[in-house]
Amino acid sequence: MNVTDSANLQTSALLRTITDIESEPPVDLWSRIEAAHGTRVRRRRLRRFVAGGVFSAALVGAVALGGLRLPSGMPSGGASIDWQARAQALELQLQALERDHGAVGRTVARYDAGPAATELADIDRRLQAAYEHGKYTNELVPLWKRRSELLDTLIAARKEGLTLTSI
Amino acid sequence: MNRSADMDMSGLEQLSGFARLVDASVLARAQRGDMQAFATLYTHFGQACYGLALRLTGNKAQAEDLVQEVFLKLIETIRSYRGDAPFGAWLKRMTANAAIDHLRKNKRFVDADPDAMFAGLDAPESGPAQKLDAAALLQRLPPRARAVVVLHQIEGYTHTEIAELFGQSESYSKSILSRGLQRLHAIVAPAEA
Repeated sequence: MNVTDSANLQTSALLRTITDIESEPPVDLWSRIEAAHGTRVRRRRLRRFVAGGVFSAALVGAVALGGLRLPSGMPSGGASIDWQARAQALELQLQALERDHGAVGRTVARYDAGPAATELADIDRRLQAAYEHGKYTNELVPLWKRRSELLDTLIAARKEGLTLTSI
Repeated sequence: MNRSADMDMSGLEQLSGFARLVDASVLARAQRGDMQAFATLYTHFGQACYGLALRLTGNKAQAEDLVQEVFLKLIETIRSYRGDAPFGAWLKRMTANAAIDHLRKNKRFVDADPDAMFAGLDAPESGPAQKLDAAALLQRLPPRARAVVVLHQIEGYTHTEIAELFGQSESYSKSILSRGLQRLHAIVAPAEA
């Protein structure tokens, strides 16, 4: 056996002894791993929370911005308007106008001002039927909204002294 | 390593290191995120994992960091373990991958060229202390060469597997191993002569 072969064997044997070397990890290594895992989990939760907050803030911002972009004079956010209250207020306003023009005692339903009054009477019947059949708010709101629009039209026409023929 | 600890009462050698068997219920619990099951897996494999990391890096602090990294990754990826290979082999591969990733990321160890890797080294010196200490012997190699020598000579990896781990060719692995062993022989040989 030459020197090179001997060195090769010696090296190989020596390298194999490395597996015999005591290689105990520190006793606290697992607790450090657990702590690091806990930190990761908390950070992940915090990131999700922050991301959720940012999303919510962005959503609120977008809604607010959308409201601001509506033309001035228009109510922002159709869902927040109490169309029923608005229709009732407009009806009182129309009655006051009727009184001013010597038509005291005539109700809106009996007011004969062409198609608007006819549709208003139709809306009143549909509202009555909806309440009798226990319909949900989302079905009543469009009726109250339409009633408000018709009353707006009638008030405007009354103020201008015009006879309404179409809407 | 205490060999007697690996012997049961019948005298049969029990499996040790990464070859240890894991109860399927422990794995199932771990896959459900049970930290107690992970603690059991650490009890079984922590030492083997640390030993491999220490042999590959030659540095205790780095070995601890690697073990921590491996087990944190294990906690997150154990659901992907399908049992195609023994769990120990899976974990061993994960540890080797983590060590090699560390070598690849560390800019100090950008020495992919085998010539450049060994060019700046001092002439090997031999001595009785180094002859007896394999860990010190491996410290005389550049980090990548050390990892290749450990994986091939001690852990039994093939050149194909090493090449895959390093993202290099088989000839790269063979060249590094050859040069690394030559250097180690040069350290050992004069003392023998």
